Amino acid sequence: MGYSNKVIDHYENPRNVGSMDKDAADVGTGVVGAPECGDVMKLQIQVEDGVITDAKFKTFGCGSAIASSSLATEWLKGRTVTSASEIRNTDIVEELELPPVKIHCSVLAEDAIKQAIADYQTKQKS
Amino acid sequence: MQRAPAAVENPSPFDPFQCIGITRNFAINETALDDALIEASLRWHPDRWVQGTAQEQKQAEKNMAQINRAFGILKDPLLRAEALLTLFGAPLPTGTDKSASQGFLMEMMELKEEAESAAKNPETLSRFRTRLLTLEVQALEELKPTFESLQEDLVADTLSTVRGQLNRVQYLRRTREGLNLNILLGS
Repeated sequence: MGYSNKVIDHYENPRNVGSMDKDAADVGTGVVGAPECGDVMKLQIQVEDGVITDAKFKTFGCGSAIASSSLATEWLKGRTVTSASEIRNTDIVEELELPPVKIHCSVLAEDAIKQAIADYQTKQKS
Repeated sequence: MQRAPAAVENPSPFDPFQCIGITRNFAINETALDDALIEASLRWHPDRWVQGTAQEQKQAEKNMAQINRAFGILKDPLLRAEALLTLFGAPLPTGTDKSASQGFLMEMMELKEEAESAAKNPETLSRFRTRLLTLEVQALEELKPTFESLQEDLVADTLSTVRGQLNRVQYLRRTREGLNLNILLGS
């Protein structure tokens, strides 16, 4: 089965591709990978007063992995950190109509979000 | 009088070492592996069973297919290592690699970024491919001593070390294969 139109759209016009300063205090970075397919995904958030003001990603992987992270950054912008941590991979699967073999791509995106939030929170404590 | 072929043992998970008849070890003797293939083929090649019953022919075909599969796995160090770890009860995790450090993943990210820019020029591309291959060979070398200590004592710590080293090989190879794909797609 082929990719859904939504995946193709994100793949051809990825949103929020780029990098932020990973050492900045208001930036949280998450890098995750799947050795099986060799995919690597970097997702970063910028936070102000508990709200995510900007999100960027860079993904080396298949179309579904790129679409999942692109969609994730779209969803992250404007959300509170608490509400961002509630994004589930199943939401991404539903939105992008990912077939079962591509579900792991959405898991990658969820893990990247969690890691980026955890990284930001660790920075706030220190 | 030849005996009817018995099924080559096919336990779960598939044990290519047992199937082809060499010692279960990461370090293998390539010549011994080739010899083992020849020996197994002499015994099970379907051509040697044309006089046999339909059942024997079917079995020989099945056995030969398993032997070829085992050989393909054992010949490639990455697949061989994967098979060993599966037999040790630590197969390749599917999905997110929770054990990977951020530092390692960053390094892989940077390599992929480099791959992207190297792909723009045939000369830098070929140099980068050589570098990836060198890194892969190095990473495979690092696996040898870890597997050796694993062979003596199946410790969880060593198992996760070897898993990490193997994942490194895996990422490097996928990156290199992606490079080839970029050429095919002309990007």
